[in-house]
Amino acid sequence: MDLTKMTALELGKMIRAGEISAVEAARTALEQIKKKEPDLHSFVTIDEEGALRQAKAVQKQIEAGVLTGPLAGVPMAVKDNLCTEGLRTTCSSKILEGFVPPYTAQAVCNLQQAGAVILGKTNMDEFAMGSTTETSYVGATKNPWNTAHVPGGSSGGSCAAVAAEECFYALGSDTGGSIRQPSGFCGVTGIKPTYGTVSRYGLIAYGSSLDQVGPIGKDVSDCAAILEVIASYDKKDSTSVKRRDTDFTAALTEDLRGLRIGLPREYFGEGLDREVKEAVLAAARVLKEQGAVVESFDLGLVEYAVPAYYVIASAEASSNLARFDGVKYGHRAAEFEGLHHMYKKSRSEGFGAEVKRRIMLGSFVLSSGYYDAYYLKALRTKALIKQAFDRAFETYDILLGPTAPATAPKLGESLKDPIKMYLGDIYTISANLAGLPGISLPCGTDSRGLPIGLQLIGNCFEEKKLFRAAYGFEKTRPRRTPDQAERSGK
Amino acid sequence: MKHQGTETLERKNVISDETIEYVGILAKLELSEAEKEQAKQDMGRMLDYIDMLNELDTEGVAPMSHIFPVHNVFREDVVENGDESRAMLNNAPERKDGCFKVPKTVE
Repeated sequence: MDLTKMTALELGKMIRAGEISAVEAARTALEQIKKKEPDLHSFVTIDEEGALRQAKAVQKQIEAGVLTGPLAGVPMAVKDNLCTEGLRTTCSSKILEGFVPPYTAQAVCNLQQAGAVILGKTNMDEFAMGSTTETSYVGATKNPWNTAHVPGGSSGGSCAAVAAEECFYALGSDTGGSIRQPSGFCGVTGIKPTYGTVSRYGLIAYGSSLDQVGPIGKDVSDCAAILEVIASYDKKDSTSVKRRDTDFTAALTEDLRGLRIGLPREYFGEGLDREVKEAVLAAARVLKEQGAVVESFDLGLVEYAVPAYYVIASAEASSNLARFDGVKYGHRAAEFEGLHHMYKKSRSEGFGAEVKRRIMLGSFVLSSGYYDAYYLKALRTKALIKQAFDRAFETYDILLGPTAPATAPKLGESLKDPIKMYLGDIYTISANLAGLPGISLPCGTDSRGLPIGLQLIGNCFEEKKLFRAAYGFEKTRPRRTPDQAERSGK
Repeated sequence: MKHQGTETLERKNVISDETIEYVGILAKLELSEAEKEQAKQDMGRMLDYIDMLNELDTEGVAPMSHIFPVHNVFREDVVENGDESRAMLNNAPERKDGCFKVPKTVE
């Protein structure tokens, strides 16, 4: 039996039953990493020694009956913008090269308490700014389905690692689509929860009002089980929400009768690839056959989400990234004249081009004279976008559309035209602005064999409806992996 | 969607040298001449795109910074964590006598 094929829950069950040990599971994953990494580069840091040490400790606790949860002993990976005590955390940036956090992010702590075994830290766009994982200081990650293509971003390393079976699940973060879009491109399942559901403590901030941590898994059940563990109220995050209904796995029923699903017409218009459109509409028909009520409607304001997002996210980034100054941690320039020159030189040497671009735009829109025209205008637009979703959810339980307008682009194609790259996030970005949960799951492949992502968006705190619909759809089709595609010659 | 075209023939927002200098000061970034030229182009093009928001009538719409009606979260001013100064200092590029070391700031 090939253990790498197991889902996280299947593997967890085998470990609990004593059929294999957590150490064997970790060794299996580490071997797969060794095999796949030369082609893919999903990881920034691989912690072989630490993983085996954790696995031994977890195995003891399982045998002692202390750890009984479904994820105990399952090897996983963490995006490199989530702090891990004693394990280098770089945000794929030169400015944090060699940073070893003195504490662990709350979402990661929750998983460790549930017996997670951390294999390493995954590659990402620098500070999560990008849609391809190509802005990483340590170099791009490749798409496991076709290594000439990007895995998407910014959680590209996490999604590629799950797709290539280098780990059984991973954590990502989503500020404008950074879990959902690479999940779509890599043929895996990823969910951005409602804002405030998962603590942001220890997540290195990009756009604080938009950032949310979430799971990336091989299927819907895995994601529900992982989210159940990482969702928790945390007083260390002042935007954390006290929720009671976080028993997400209870929503995994195949009964979709009566579920009202709305298809925003704007999500199927100009700019959408024909094959993606066909696959997503076919998925909508499947849900209808299962008893859901499916209809099209006008959501409105969709085209304004991307410009509003770039004002808000860049403004917050310019403030959040002010902490990187060569004093407390990270890169400091070797030569400088005085304090201010040290700040400027350290930052200019430490940040990459896309990060600088966003910090400058953010500084500009917050500056005196432009604050009202750009920053407040964007916040007013955000209010209108939220109202449009509120109206939609008066009629529909969930909204359905593509995750991205096209499948994964080739490496090297995207960074030349930033605005074009930004427009690739048009279907995911509004969910961040409105704080809504969104899930991406595979719904087919295009003629080149690249995965197509189906996105479902729910109202705030209604992840269960997303899980229910996603689970119902998933049950109608077999799970596919990149190596199966290779074998069938596609 | 009508705004798919990203190449505008005419640049509406022309970023001056002074503006880029000023933004460099605010952002604490030191740019080479080539980087400055690129930044002027990039920012002008991005602002042209963002100006699309002006098509929207937002008169009377309150700016929304938070989705939920959250307010400041207060707690009693009691120390809950231990002394972690050594761990915090471990990542400092330069340190001296239990402090972060920075270049001389006053003559």
